[in-house]
Amino acid sequence: MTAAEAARRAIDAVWRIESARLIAGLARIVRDVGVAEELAQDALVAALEQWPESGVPRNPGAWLMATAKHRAIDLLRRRERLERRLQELGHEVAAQQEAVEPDLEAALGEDIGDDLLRLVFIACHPVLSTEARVALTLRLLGGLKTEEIARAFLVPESTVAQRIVRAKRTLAEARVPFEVPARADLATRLSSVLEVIYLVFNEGYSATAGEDWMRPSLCEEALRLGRILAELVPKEPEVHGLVALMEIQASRSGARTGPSGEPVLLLDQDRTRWDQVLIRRGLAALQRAEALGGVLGPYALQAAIAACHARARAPEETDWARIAALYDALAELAPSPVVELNRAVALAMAFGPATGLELVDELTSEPSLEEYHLLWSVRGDLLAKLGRHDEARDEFERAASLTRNGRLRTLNLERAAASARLSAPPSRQAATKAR
Amino acid sequence: MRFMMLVKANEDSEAGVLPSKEELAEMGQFNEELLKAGVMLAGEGLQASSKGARVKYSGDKRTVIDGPFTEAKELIAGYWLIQVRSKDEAVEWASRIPFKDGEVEIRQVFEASDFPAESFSPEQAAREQAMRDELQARAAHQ
Repeated sequence: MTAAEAARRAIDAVWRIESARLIAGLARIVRDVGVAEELAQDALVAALEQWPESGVPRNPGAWLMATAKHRAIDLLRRRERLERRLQELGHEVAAQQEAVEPDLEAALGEDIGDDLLRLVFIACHPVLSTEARVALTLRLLGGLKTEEIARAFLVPESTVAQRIVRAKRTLAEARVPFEVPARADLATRLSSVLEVIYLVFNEGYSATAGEDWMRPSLCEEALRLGRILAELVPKEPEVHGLVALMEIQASRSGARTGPSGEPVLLLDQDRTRWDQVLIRRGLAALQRAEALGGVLGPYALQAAIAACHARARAPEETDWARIAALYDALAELAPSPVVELNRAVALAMAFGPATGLELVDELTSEPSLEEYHLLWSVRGDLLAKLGRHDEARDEFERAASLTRNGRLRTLNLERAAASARLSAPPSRQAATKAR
Repeated sequence: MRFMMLVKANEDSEAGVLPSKEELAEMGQFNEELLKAGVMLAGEGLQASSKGARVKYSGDKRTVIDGPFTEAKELIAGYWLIQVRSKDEAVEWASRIPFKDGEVEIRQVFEASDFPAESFSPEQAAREQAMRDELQARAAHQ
């Protein structure tokens, strides 16, 4: 490896570690995340030019920050001069150019954590579309390149680039302040942040074997963002709840697909393949959420449900009654037909298939679930357990026809066939028994 | 991906000499940085090898050898488990460990996806599933 190559790789790594803090610190000075990112990029270019010659500095993060800050000051001075000249010419000064010479000494001393938090909130600001929030978060906080985001989300690079450009413009035009939201808004703003992180996680979690490795790596990105956020706002139980949920879900990633990539259902998974480090971390995060007191939020409740599974060494040891109770709480807090369906499954496991079926039957009239394959495969499963194989077969077939996932379709068709075998004409069954 | 940063032992660590106050403070700060960056999964310091043992395997035979062990440089005195996106990033983190001397080895951790799933053909899996269904169905009949 040449010195230049070594320096470039070191710079990549430093960028990955430092870029978010760098952009955050600059954004406070220039009050514009777009400009802040450009300045940070300029510093990166300077590093690429100088480090191969001079070697990587002892404290690369500080080097980048100092370089970028000089440029920020230059920029502000230019703005100021421009403004003065404009005034001299008698022009009206555009309000957005009110350049305030920042108190750099104070700025340097201020807690970088606060800046990072401001950056998190601005990247996930409600004026932006969900897609824009996701792209901007991964770019500004994850240090991902546009090209990497595009690969991860299976969209053209130009689409992501455009999303990011537009998002920055929207933030500038809306004059979104670079600040941590006021107490009154904090809960809603935070839930927007959590939503973005969980969305990134799920995108990675839904990746299938053979896809670009950037996709599954989104899970790690989301976990990293979640863990960072948990350190930034340690008193927010839902942040720990989300981290717990992601850690526990990620712990199963080695067990949730079979040899040819087919999905393996939770209860059929080889639990020895669950990652115990992540489970422990998940349980610890859940404990932090619970220790903060108050009513558990939707993420913490889902984490608590995941924890019930994680604690059970074997499927038979699962505490279904507790899971059912947690779904009760979740249904009250964040009611949705899908939560109801999960509650039905838990009830069936805790108190027998008939109890679960009662609730599922109520849900069959729910329009939003009509096309939802899981409703029908769950109903099929409960009917099969009750020995009503004829009806079960119909439901599995319906479920198969509703899923676009080839492997799930196969699974449902196999179950339909099994039910069909079991619902053989009564005469033959009787004959078999007689023999 | 995950990496282990393995701290090599030295005479002090083998003699059970505890780190100084300053060293502990610096290390605490480094750990805090790892935590804030969301990359640290676990980390521990290990006691001297005199408090440990080795188990050797030869067929069915097991031989236990109590510590201490010589060649401090070959021994491990602690580790961090970190989750990062590249080996370069792991190297950058390791460069920031506030050590004055000694050595840290960086090793990538196997992930579940690095192993072929069990030697279990899809047909076998499907048969197993069907069997389970039938068993369940029969249980429901009784």
